[in-house]
Amino acid sequence: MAEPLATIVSTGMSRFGKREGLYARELFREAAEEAFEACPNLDPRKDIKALFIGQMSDLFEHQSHVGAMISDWLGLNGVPALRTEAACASSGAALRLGIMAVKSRLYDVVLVGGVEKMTHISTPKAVEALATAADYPMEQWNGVTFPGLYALMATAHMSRYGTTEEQLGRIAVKNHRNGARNPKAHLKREVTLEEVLNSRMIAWPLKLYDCSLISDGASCAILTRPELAGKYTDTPIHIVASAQCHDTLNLADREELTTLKAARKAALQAYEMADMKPRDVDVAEVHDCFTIAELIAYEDLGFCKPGRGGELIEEGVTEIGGDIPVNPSGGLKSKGHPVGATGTAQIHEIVLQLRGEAGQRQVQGAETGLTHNVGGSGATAVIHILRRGD
Amino acid sequence: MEEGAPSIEEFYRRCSDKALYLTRCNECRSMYGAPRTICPRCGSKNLAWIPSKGLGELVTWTIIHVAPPGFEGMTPYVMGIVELEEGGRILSIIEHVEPEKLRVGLKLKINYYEPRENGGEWPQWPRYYFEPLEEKQ
Repeated sequence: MAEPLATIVSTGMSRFGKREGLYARELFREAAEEAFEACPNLDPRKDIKALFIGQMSDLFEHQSHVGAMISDWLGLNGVPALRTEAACASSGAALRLGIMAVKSRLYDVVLVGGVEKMTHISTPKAVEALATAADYPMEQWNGVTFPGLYALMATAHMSRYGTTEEQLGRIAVKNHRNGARNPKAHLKREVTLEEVLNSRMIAWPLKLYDCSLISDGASCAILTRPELAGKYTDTPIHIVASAQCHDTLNLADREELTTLKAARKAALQAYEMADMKPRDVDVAEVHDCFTIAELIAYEDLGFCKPGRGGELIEEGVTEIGGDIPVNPSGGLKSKGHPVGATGTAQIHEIVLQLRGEAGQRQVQGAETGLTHNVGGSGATAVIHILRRGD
Repeated sequence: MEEGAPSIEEFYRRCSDKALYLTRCNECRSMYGAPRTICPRCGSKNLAWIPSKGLGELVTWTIIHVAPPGFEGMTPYVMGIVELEEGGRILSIIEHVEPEKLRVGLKLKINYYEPRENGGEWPQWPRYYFEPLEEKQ
């Protein structure tokens, strides 16, 4: 059994959705407050020694200098705080910095998290801000959108393996069914396959219901060294693997378009670090920014062979109650995708699942969970593996 | 950066002259559509411009219905990744093609849009597109 890199003692997440009148600092405080309340032995002003906050874009709120803003709003101005940016994997990257900080023994306890406030500006403006994660001279300049980039991968997968729009649609149906059971999800509503397939076209073959949501939200986790965790919790969750890999920023320069090589490489590193196999994963939260992204994640994470993702969803393997439940939270699709918050929101869900606190969407007996957080069209992938520590 | 090394500015300057140049790694022979100075596959710094005839085949495609700013008037439009004859791939709008004609391997050739006046703001890059080789009206 692999030694833990660090241990999570508490997590928090704001409600995701259209949070009118609330800004990033206030949403982050909501998430942090939940993590603090769940951890009464922790004195934030005394114990927390550093903050790492993921946020993708300062275009949303016309606000940079996010580390200082969050430390200020939490009343923690005496400790270092900074923002990490890796597009939609910004808080997955923040978590990695937190792990390094406690593993190096520089700090005993750190707060990591992420936030994005997106719904107060018009959809075209939000889409434009998100598009900045794509290569500017080769991709944005030539008229592509993020749905467009993932649609290029979807068409490649359909051409090569015979994957169908129905199979992609089933991923949306599953994630909405799960999200309807998550009180903090943005769109707590089940959808039928017919609704998904008949929703308006965004970037063929991807339709509105193949796309994740533009949401407001924040999430966080409090980390310490494994041997200190007992001071703060009786149900520690160990981080047994953390990996981050990259690929070309420009999608067209990749050798293959039906897989995210960065995710595949990070997954291999993570499984090796945790000394486990894909079949040992009891529950996973994967980056379903588009339905095709979840299908490709099944293959990249080794849940099935390349090209078999469509069969996996049809056979119900990734449903709650299946062999490898994926996105019990509802995923980015139904829970919502405040981009900077997504990485640590995945962590929050896995912690709930491993502690048996996930309510109506609980995966029975889950002891090991995986998170798969992707930046852009796959130029960044961050993977973590968590395990119950009691 | 050494004289003559592939760069973004030079890539687009050459496009202004209606000339497409790809980047080749002289070590591992990988070809790239995007100009670069270190090969992401082998790490070599020995990269060179390779002139392209601008002929290629469609690798994958999408039809954009919700466009980014500046492209709204064109929807729906086809975008594809094109593999050039010389190797290397490039993302581009595909003009003058009926959606039902789209398929992997469709033969395409490059063309260039008329430059647009933008008041001297950065960037002053031209835009290219691809169109079917045999079906140009």
